[in-house]
Amino acid sequence: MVAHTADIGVRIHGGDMEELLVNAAHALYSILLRATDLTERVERVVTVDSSDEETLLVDWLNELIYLFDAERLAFSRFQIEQLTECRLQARCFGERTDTARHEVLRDVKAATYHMAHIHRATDGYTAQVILDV
Amino acid sequence: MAELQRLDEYRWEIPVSYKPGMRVPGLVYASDSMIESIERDQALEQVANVAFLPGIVGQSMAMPDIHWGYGFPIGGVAATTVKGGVVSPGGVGYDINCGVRLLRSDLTAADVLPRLSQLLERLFHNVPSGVGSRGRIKPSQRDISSILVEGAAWAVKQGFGSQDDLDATEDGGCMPEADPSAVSERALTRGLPQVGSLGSGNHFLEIQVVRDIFEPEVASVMGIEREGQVLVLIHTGSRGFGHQVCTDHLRVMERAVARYDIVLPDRQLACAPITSTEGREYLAAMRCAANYAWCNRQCITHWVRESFADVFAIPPERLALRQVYDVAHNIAKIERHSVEGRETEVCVHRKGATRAFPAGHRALSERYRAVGQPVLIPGDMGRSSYIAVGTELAMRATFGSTCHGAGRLMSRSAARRAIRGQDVADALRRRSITVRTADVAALAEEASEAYKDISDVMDVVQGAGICRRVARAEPMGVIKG
Repeated sequence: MVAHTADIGVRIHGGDMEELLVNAAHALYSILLRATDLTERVERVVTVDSSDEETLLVDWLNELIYLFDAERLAFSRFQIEQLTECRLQARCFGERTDTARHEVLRDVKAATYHMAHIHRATDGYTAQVILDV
Repeated sequence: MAELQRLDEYRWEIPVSYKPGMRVPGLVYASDSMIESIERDQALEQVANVAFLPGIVGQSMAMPDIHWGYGFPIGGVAATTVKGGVVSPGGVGYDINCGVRLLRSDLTAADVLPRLSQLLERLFHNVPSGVGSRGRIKPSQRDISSILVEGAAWAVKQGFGSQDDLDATEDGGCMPEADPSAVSERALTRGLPQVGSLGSGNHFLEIQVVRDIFEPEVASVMGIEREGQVLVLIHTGSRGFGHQVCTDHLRVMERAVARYDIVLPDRQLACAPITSTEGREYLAAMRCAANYAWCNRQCITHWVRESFADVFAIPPERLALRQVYDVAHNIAKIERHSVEGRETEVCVHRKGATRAFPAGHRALSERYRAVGQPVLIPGDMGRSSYIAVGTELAMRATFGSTCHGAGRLMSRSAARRAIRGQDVADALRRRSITVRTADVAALAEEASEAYKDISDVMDVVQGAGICRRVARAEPMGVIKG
């Protein structure tokens, strides 16, 4: 977590860009849900086209936020089918959350571009994203 | 910030020389003691960044409830000229037309206290609230188009209120030129099930008691007549609908920035010329979200009246739960203001700020024409809320704007680490404030310690003359979303 007065910031690590994007999704669900037992009943292909890697990361999270708010979908496993600097296609496995089994912790309005940053180092990638909650 | 220059007791300037690219100075309203905490995070940097927006006039302003936002600071006000200037969705934020609505009553604290728990239970049952809350209204696709175009008037047509409510709402509860064709399917899907819900986060429904009346004549026009009188304050916005409108159009603007050769220090400030296709479409969709929010607050108002009627066994029409006013806190509006001595059409972005028009302004309804626009400024759950009124000086100095609340001091995660939600509930109970919530742990995020003291904020806006205190109320019962 990164301190931000209004909102919640997350810092994510990944060995490569693919892992970074998957970990960002897991970080998002850890904020949205106390999700320990998400099953894989639903499969959904999510495609994002953006102008660069940072916007790709933010736009990817916004796709997942939309699916959670509109359809109550949460995913626990991801297969990255296509990844370039500006395009991501991921097959996502999860389920429609059910308040009887999944405790929803908070609403997230959106992932923001403010201070969104990806840093490459020798041991992989680190990124930061601020979520408006 | 070494470059910060004190102008007078309540105003601080960030000169244009602070950062190459600033088109106008930054202007921050704050007291001596507040400025220290403001300087601790990135909020002043954000005031300077907003000054990069093409077409910005006057100053990039921040009200005393300023705190670190994303792109714009919360508490930010910026006006851009319609001719040649830009509109920035970040200058409105994700919760488009998040705002507050105040109802007055003939009841006193002594009437309400014995039935407070029952009343809170009834309200909690009747007004959907909390994380992921779904509304009680089940609008059809056709209804939703009408909601987006008509705003609060749609709800009134369904029997959820009266013309008197609309007359006591900013813009009559309906922004013209809202165009549903500028709204994505996604925003509709996200928004449709949430019409008529409070939501979560800092949203709330509060039963308050009047503690001080500073200007009795103005207060009486508002229906606030005596100390001990009970009021109801509703704080919510455009729910997932507005969030999706902002997300969708920020993506469009992100690309527009390069097309229009706009240089910005923060991507979240993404913008496009007001007269461009991107700018016009954003404004058309934003107005839909503003109307959604007014409809939402109108529906909730109806259920509040029903709840009081149930608990006190008095027909709603005899309860005198008349609307005092309803204001937007997050919005962009095309208004006419004097810029360098010439009346100019500008787009005023208010991101965590309230319109504060003075007496005589043509935008005000007959009821408030002589006294000025009511300005509703909630504090945190444990302190006060203020009812103020707009001033002539605000028109000249801040494009008719003032503060919107207390402003956060602590991040949500820091508050959760430092404070326990149950302790907040217990401390409030000791002060005779009852809280009803589905999520006790989340109370920590909204604890008094996480916010500036609203009275300090009010001292600044009153001292600077950008609104005048009319009355102060304290919470008795809170439904925390």
